[in-house]
Amino acid sequence: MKNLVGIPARHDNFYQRQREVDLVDRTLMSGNNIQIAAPRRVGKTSLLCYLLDNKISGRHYVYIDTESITEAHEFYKKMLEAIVRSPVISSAVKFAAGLKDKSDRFFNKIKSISILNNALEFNNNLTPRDYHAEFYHFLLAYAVTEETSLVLLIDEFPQTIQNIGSINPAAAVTFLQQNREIRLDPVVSLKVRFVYTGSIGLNQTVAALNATATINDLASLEVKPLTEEEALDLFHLLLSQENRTVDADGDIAFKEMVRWFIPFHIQLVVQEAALISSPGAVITRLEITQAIKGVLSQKHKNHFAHYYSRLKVHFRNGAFLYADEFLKLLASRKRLDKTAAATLATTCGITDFRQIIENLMYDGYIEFDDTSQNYLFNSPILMRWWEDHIC
Amino acid sequence: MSIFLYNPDKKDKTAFLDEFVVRTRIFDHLFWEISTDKMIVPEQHYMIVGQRGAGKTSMLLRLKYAVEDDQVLSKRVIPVMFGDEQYSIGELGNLWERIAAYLEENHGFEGIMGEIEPHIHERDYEEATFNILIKYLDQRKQDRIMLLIDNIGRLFDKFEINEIRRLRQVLQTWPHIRLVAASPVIVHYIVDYDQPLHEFFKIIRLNSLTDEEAMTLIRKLASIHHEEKKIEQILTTSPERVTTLNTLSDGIPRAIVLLFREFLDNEHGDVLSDLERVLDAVTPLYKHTMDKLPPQQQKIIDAMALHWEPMEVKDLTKTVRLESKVISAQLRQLEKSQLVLRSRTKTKNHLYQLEERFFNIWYVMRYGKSIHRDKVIWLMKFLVAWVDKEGLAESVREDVKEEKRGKLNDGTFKIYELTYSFFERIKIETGPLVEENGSAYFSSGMKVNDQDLLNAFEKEAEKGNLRKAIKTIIDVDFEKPENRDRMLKYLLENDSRLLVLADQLNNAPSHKGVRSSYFYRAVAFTLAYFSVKRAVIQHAEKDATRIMSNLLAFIDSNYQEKGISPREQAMLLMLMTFLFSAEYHNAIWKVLLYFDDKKMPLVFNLVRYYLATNMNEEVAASRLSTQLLSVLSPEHMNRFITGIQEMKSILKE
Repeated sequence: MKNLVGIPARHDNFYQRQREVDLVDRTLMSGNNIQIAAPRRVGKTSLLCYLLDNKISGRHYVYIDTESITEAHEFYKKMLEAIVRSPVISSAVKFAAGLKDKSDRFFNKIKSISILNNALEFNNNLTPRDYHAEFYHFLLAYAVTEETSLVLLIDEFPQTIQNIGSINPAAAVTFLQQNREIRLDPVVSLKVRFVYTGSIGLNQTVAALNATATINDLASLEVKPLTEEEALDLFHLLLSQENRTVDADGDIAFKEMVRWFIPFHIQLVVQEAALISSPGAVITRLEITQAIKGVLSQKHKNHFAHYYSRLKVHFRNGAFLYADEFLKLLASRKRLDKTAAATLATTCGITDFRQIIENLMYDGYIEFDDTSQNYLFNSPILMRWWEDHIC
Repeated sequence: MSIFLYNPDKKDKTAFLDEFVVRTRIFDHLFWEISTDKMIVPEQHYMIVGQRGAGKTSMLLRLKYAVEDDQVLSKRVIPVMFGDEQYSIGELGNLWERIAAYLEENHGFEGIMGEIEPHIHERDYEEATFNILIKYLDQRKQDRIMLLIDNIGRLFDKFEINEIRRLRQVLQTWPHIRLVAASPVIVHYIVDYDQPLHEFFKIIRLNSLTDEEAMTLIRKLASIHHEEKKIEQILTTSPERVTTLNTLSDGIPRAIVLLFREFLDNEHGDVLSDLERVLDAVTPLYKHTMDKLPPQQQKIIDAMALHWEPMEVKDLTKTVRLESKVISAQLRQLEKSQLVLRSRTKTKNHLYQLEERFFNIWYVMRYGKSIHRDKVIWLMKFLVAWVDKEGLAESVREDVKEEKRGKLNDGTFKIYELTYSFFERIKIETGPLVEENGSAYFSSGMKVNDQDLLNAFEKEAEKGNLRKAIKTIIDVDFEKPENRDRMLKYLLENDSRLLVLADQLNNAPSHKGVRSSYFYRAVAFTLAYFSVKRAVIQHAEKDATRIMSNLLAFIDSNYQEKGISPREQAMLLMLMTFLFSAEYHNAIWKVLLYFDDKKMPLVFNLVRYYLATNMNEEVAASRLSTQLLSVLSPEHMNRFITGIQEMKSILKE
């Protein structure tokens, strides 16, 4: 297992997150379309690629990244291209036969795909086409001929909406409506599922266009951090890749100091631990402490700075002031109870502070500990970063 | 000598591979990662980051050769490297086109350009070109490309945001292309959260060469050019010629290669002559950089270079006499051109400094007034004086062994006695001495050659004629730091003679000839050094504190505008190493109270940096490290800290 950055972790490099995989699988099985929300670096794309590479539950998966698409027709064209390129669709025999025959009412409307030497080919000529209609008919044709479900894994979909909306907001809304119609079409929905992800929130993007209703059919799933057991397992795997082991106290220190187990934080700790030790070394509490110090140093600033810059984007004026002060206070005091949160709101002249706190919880900054009835930073690493760089 | 300093790709392949002797661990790991990937799915993309001259192009080239020479990998992967050729690339489609052209020309992808041509003026140019490229790759066994692009920031600057999104999409979706990019700085395209390439690359940092790596590079060059004997002689007798230039140049291999040339031409040079010659060699490059800047940016660079330490915009407005918004706009441009580095602070006032330390030094030495140049020369001398950490540790280790054998006591009493008497004596003598000596005394005195007199002193001292030796230096101007430092170095290296000398000074009725209190300072520093070292080993905290108080009081009594010499400051750092390692807080605080960032900014900041690091005050540590890194290497910064840690463990042995 290699310590990867940026690129989706696939095959041997993917740390299998069975809970998430099962959740997506169950949700698809129950007939839902899905949106997966999580910030960058949490592992959304890796999860999609896992479904794709392992053909979970025998479905046909097609992955497409739509980040650079700026027009609706381009989206549908790219979808068709990606589907045609996909080996699973090329091997769909009945579908290919239908295309060859073209006697079916759906197949005869598909102009951009043809059969060449028994393989599907996208006709990339420059004739203007209604790719929305082509795409829709393609899905209809698939649904009536194929028995295996087709799952379209659409990455960075919110960015596509934002791209279209920045040129013409009305076009973005129409685009969203068209997508909803396709998803809910009684024939298409028999065999085709959609999974959307993106590092900018789909809900916020759509809300900005006043079009929330266009996505209210999507089941919203969250990519959660690893459990303690999974985190330790990944930690050991990554260390062994670096030819290091860890002693029992080192494991305890790791659990205490990382606590919020997203793979990226674990990767950073391993990277730093490898830097301060030699191959073959046993990592102890001391090295873990030093490695965390390394993670918090100036050179890794860019990994955390976005947490602060995102605050400025999410919250405006008084809300930003409150969120900023709340997190600073929390970082310096380590925990805050509800009274302290309310008192701070009075100081900042804010009344709807609960909404701000809820947003901070939803966006992965903080959690509420039921036992102590206190707010805490999700990640002790982030808390220490906040204390060092923001407070 | 076929050393291509600026274009390693023009170098003969065998010579290049032979000379690739630094960064080998980084290369080995990187190549291991690359060669073990199957490239069935999109694999890790890399960004190599290092300042100009750090060896980024060489690392890209080394990877290119490694892939070409690997029997298994070369059957699948074609390395395609773009350096200056990227000037013709203005949009993403051009990038695919350039790759296709390269493949047609060098790898027999016949017909590919012909197929691309009809699309060149079409709307789908980028997409069509990419698809054609993939189609041709899919038809071959060698169906993967390792794209090596130098200075990638310049390319990103030319791309529209949507093209960068598309590039990310391609790199994340298609396994055919793996990108290994290089950049002198971490560009905002990979830092900012709202950028498509946010944290997309694995960053490989080419840090400054350590002194050891610099030595290895020089030795390897010597071996290639059959000059081992000559070079080994220089490295043995004057290692500071390498370590000092390595620090001044911020550890860039290019400077070390130039230094090697200098060694061949000028075997008996010194650090200053080396620096001058190396600066001469880089002048065409740096002058060209300055000449092509617009006048306002030249003014800003001038102000920043001469100031040397990081500056805020408000400081620049005073020096450059331009409005702050104009300066900010120009700074943004200079940042983009990778000439200026911005360090973010917690306030809105960021700190700015020149990106490249060696460029800064070049500017100061070529265009600065003597006051500016003196700063560089001072730093150089300080680094030379501060080079021998290992020697310090070794001498303490020896003394610790002696102490365990019970053999240290007698000598210690003698040293303490001499030291205390010496400070008592100069307490009485320095008052009138300070008034009488100084420049007036020397300027009215006879003209003498100080170096000859110091040579004579050393000669007589060698013979054991201390009285005669002292007489020879009656007229030496010890107000000049270089004379004082030479004496200090001599006494430090000849401790037995120091003791006799101190004895003579203490017992003789009058030393009217040796009236310069600055000469006494050299003696005072060395006596304090040996006494405090003993005190630390023998756990005599009171003695250490008392001796430090005496030394500081003496320095203070004759501190004049000439200040404290480089070697004296290096000695103070060594004394602080002793005090910190033994945790003699009283003595430490006495020194800290005396310390002042105006008297000794570098030493003062180093000590504060140690304290901040030790007390986990990371914000203060980070601010101080920004300041210190403008003149020192991380290795030097850590030298003081590791020196203390090492000393602590020796004392516990």
